[in-house]
Amino acid sequence: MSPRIACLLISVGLIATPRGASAQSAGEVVAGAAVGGLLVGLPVTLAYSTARAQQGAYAWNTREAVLRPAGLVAGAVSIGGGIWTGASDRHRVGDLALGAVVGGGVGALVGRGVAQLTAPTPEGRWAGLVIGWGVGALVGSVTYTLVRGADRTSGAETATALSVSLPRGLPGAGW
Amino acid sequence: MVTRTRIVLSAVLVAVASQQGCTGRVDRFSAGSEPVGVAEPSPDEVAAVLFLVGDAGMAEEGRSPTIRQLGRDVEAWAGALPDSAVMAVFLGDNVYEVGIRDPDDPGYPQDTLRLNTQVRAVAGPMARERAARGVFIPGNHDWGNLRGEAGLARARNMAEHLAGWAASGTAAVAFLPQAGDPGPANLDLGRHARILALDGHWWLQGEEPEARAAVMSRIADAMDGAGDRHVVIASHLPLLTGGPHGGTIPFFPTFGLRFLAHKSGMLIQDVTAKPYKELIAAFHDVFDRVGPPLAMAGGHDHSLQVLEGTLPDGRTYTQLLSGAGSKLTDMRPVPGMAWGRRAPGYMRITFLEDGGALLHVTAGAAAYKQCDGDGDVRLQCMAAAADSMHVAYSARLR
Repeated sequence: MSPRIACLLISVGLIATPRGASAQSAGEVVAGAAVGGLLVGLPVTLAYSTARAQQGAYAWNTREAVLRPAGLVAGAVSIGGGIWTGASDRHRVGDLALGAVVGGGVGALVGRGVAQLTAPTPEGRWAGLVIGWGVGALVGSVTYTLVRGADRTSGAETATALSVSLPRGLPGAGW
Repeated sequence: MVTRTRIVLSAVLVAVASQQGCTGRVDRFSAGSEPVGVAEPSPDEVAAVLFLVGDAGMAEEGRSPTIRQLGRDVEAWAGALPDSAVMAVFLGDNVYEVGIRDPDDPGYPQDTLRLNTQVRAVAGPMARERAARGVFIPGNHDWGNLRGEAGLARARNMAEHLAGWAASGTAAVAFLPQAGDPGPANLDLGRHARILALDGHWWLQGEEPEARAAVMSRIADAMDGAGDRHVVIASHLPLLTGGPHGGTIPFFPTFGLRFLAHKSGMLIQDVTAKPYKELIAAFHDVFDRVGPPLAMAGGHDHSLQVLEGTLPDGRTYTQLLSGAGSKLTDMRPVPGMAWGRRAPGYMRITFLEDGGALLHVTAGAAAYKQCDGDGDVRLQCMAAAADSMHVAYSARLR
């Protein structure tokens, strides 16, 4: 995939972002893009390149490791997803980041543990760590964002039901 | 949110700090006290001289103190020795970044300019008169960092350009082994030395096990048939290194990506990649069977290193890494390193009439890997760089 198509996918993410009352500030959109790209897209891309190397398709330099077509798709989708998340609900960017960091960390540990059993070489253990990081970041971010989003939505409905009216014209209030 | 941001920032800072600390980068290292040394032999004690310089593909005429000094040394030794007793091996990555492009490509003039700079180091008047030779072996950049036919075309372009120099009679240069041939190309130097030139990039391209075994078999035969000659194996890819391809990787500028890619064996140019490890194992197997060579000579990383590798049975071999012809990268002490320096320069093996072999490493100040600017600024830089060039390390190899 060329960088042009990656840009196209990011553009689709931007176009698909909510408008009107639900739309957030540009800062949150940028934050979402950064979190999606760096904390999810990058580990997923690295995990993909590492998995390909395990199959014998090595990268010939760092640039190629990051810019493989499938990696670019993962990066573009992650950035697009981050943009959508930031635009729809500012709290979700934090959820996305936390899910990616915790999920990535757990995934890295699990991946390293699995590699210890299946490919007990130094490179094998590091490969397991990187692949686990990517899978964990992806699963963690999506899962945590959806779960927290659902919680927040149900919490917001409850808050509406509990709204109260302040009494006006209390003696001595001065308003 | 603020707390989360702090946590993430702290994690990044810890990662940076641990990276900088763990790599243990140094500009110079010596397992013994410096200056380690053997005296320069007088020319009548010398049978032949072999210069080793690698990764010189950024050097440009009049701007490269290293190549200028190399040319002066070649001239001096050629003048002092009989015919055909001097050879310079350019250890790959002779043209950055993508080898020699096609003649109709806009980048062709610059590509050939960089190659010509190195050719002229062995084309001085005395070098021509005494038939000093220049051998250019391929590195990954000479293949354009490509594989298959596209990469081979770049290697062929370099071979053809050098053949043009040779045909004109102005320089005895050659691209060896032939483009697409993994080697070894056997070159005898005087009565005491045999140089085996290899194309390491061929090996990394996933060739069939039978073809790889055939290459190693030819290397073993060439070493076995060398008799009393010292064997030097010239391959762009070193078997040992304390440079980036061996894991000395700064956190910046890739923010740890390069480090992870190296550690996980993802990058085929690194010693951690499976094909590269197979290459090392195959050499060790050959050395185990026929005995270690006098030295392995390579580049790939951009520093000067003298290392000692150990075979499974405990015997050792010498790895010379001379990849500081035009670029510099980090290095650190690794097991087996006898000496290393992050400095521009090259190496020389002097083969003595009595069968001995000496190593001398010429290095300059790191600031002078290339002299940019114009006019007096450049001339002053070149003069200061020449003053900084000196024999920084020497040892008896045999």
